[in-house]
Amino acid sequence: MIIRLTSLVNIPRFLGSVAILLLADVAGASPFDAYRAKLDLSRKVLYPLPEQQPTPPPAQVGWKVNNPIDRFIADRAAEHKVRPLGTISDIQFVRRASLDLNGVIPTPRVVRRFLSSARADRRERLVAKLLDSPGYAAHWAVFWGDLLRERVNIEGAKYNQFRKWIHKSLTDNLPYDQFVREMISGEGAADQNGAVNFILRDRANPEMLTVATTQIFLGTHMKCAQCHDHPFDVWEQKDFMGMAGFWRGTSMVRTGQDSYTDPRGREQKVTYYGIAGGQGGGRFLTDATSSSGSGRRALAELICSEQNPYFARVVVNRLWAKLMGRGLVHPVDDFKVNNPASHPQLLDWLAIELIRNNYDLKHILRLIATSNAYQLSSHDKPRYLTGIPLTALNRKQLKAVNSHYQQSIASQEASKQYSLFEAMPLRRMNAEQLYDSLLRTTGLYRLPDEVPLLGNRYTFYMQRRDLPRYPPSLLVPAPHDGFMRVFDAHSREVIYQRKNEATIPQVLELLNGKFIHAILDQDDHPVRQWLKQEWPTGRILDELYLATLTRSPNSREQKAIHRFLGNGNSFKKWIDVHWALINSREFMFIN
Amino acid sequence: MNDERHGCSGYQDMLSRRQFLGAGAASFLGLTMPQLLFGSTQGGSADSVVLLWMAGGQSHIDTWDPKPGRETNGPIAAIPTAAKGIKISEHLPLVARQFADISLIRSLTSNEGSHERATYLMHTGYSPLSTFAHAALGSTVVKEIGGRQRDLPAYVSINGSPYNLGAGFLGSRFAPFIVHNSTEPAQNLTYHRDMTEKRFAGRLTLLKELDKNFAREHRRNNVISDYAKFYKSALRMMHSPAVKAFDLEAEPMTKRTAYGMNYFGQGVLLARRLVEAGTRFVEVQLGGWDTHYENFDSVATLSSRLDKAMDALLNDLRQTRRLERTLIVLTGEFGRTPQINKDNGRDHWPRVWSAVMAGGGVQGGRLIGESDADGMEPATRPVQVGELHATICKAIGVDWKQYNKAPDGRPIRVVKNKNLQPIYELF
Repeated sequence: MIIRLTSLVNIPRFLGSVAILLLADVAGASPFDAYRAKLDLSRKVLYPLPEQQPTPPPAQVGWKVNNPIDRFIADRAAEHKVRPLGTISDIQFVRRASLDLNGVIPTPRVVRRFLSSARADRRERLVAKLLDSPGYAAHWAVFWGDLLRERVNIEGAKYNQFRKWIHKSLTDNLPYDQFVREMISGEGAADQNGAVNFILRDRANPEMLTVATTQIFLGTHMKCAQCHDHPFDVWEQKDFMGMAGFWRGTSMVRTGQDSYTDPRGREQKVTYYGIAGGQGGGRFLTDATSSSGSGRRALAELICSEQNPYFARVVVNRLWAKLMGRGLVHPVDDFKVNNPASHPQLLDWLAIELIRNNYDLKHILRLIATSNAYQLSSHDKPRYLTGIPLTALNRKQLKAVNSHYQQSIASQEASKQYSLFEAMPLRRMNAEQLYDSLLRTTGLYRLPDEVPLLGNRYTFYMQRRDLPRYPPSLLVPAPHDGFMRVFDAHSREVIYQRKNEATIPQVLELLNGKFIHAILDQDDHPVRQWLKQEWPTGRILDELYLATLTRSPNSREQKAIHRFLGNGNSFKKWIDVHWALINSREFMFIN
Repeated sequence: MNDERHGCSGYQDMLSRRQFLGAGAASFLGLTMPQLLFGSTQGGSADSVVLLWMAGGQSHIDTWDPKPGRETNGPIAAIPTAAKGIKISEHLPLVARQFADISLIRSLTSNEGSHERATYLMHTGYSPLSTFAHAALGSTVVKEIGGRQRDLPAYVSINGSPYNLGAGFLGSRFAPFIVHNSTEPAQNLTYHRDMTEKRFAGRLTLLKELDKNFAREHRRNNVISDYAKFYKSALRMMHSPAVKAFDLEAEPMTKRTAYGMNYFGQGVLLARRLVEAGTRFVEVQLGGWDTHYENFDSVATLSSRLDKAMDALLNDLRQTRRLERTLIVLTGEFGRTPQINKDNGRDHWPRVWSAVMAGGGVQGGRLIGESDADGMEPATRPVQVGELHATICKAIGVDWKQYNKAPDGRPIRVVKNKNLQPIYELF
């Protein structure tokens, strides 16, 4: 049947291979075997980083160059005869950069100050300012929290020290290698040394820790190799066991005990733990050896080594993907010889840049955010397809191209166009960005300097009431539920790539949800102040637009709203307007 | 849509991107590889599933698998059921009379003894991994065969979703619609209490106007048009007669009390209404089974709630001739220790416990597997979670050998072990 189908329509080669796999399955052989047979096993480990930082290629016509990143991007795009979409305006930039670096839309005050600057380097200065503001740590604590599976109720931990430690590391801009080293080789009680929660999270289990560390820090999946040779990759079980060896002997040690009264009034005991030991011997993925001791200490050394071809590449790629909507290596956890970067030279250039700058993550973010590539428009759809300007196509061809393009998106596979980075993909705000932005636009967003201590799950519910009524996402303990859960904040049980897909419950939450109604109809809503100060309608309108969509209303929108308000100017009418702005799709996207 | 059913046609590792793009075109033909290969997946007669989830770990000995005469049995007596030779707990007298339509599996077994891990296993068929989120069976079913009624959520979790399990790697559009509180079921499906129909309509008109600019600029972007679609669906849902299924007030008081005026009873009533109206998969949670202390008091209370609600559900479905098309499954994450502990409680016991099935083409009065004399281990025909899932799949017509593609290209089977089969003795 399959064979008939393939001969009927001119189906690409892939169907053949799929058919072989499926038939193999029916015949008793596993599709994994068929796949494995095709793998090139001659090279397992990535090529080492070059000795010299790659030289940025010459500039290309039509491509603005803000820093070396743009030369690499332009060079490859030019190969494909692709030209960039335009650069976004200042006001679009301030919203995009604020959401990406601080996780929240900008205040009207910041926008106005930025727009009033005539300096040529105002965008660079804004990026520097955002990276220095408390919003940086607040937002990136979510990013790292997702990767490290930070939760408030880690078994054996007394407090939410893990988030506290992540947040403080980001606030202090701890060099990335040190950040990782502290987690892997840390010792002591979980409430003294927040970093050991990383090990406690996996109950000091060598196999689980191996799966986690290889994925998070080395961007490679070894979970299958735990039980059998990896069907989709080159790793074999002995590679996995080699990596797990470093963790052997690491153990949880009791550091204290408490008792508490549960909701039924019964006395319960709870034990707190710390992490100790870890002298096991292992074999590193790359066969590199360490001169410094054994066990976890050696592993930390090997992972964070400049000679490790994964470490720096993986993290710069994560930062790139977060800001640019897609990794240079895609997916970001799939570093292997068979899955090369779209821009290998740029990846290496960034990785070496990170190493040379003492693993300063902010330095990399600054480079990306100030590049012209980051500042490209997300407007409209591809003007070019594999080198052909769409304007050169006739209507029928255009239709074909469009349907082809739509399908590639529909299959959730980022379109090939975006891998050239000639345009910025439109990204939906993640749950925390949306939540915090909703707080900000309704006058409720307040960030503390540090994460306050909250008890673990045994005492947590008693302390949660000490939080503000509408805490910023930084203070909302994970795992999230309710509003943020609906928008794809997850349980943090797994290292999970958020999909940020649209769903009906999300829409219902924005249309009818309690949270939306509560924050719109509260005493601190800024419109109440403006009305009290008797601002004219036009001024309120401008300010509300700026505080919500970071722009001014156009004349059609002004007219529509004036018509809606009629002669009345009540708070009630204004929250209807605000509700509509929040529900407009423009609000929840990073444009 | 076909694009939701890639099956394994997207081995990203194996295929170049150009080839991959072709995969979309192939599914455009309306055929997916697994469909071609496995042909029909016709199974039982069910078009919906109601999962009654006994959260915390239901004591098998004190409910479905009594051990009269043994010390491990404890104080709860066993009573006969309508099925010859099957006895269950005295606290389930109404359900006992329904055994012409109910079958029991007494030899369910697993290795996961902590709540979260075991709940994950029972819902997804996989043990948890730190690097991958599997999909709950409800999400898989909905992804494979879609919903039944476009104005109703296809998968609903009532009284919360256990550990927020959901669609995992399949993506949030297959996640359950969560009803946190069965007595306030239509939350977000109706206007907020401060809202009037007129005011809401005014807001919508304004929204439509203010949304135009952006919509036009990004009209070819699928993410944007998805939201447009979902706004439309959400609004249609809000105003659809189908959504009246969420309104328990529409039931006569006698009916409501028949199910029991508690979260679970009302949740089961809601499940019945949803299934009648066209929901594909409903899960109703009954918590409190984690009876480390004073097991027997808790079991008695919980059982009487369960007894009432399940009895009412079976009666109603039979009366509306929906029983044949509705598969009812009852289980929890594990059983409890045969040994009674010093606090007169029982602890976690995954080595053996029970599941109950009724309707949806499953025959009644059958007993699948048995535990040993003290309810410690399966004595005959041990049943794994994969077999339970395959049985549900067969009943509702999902191919349990189907693959779905993980983001990294790996095929993830609906039922992990391809050698596992449905429990054919039940059909």
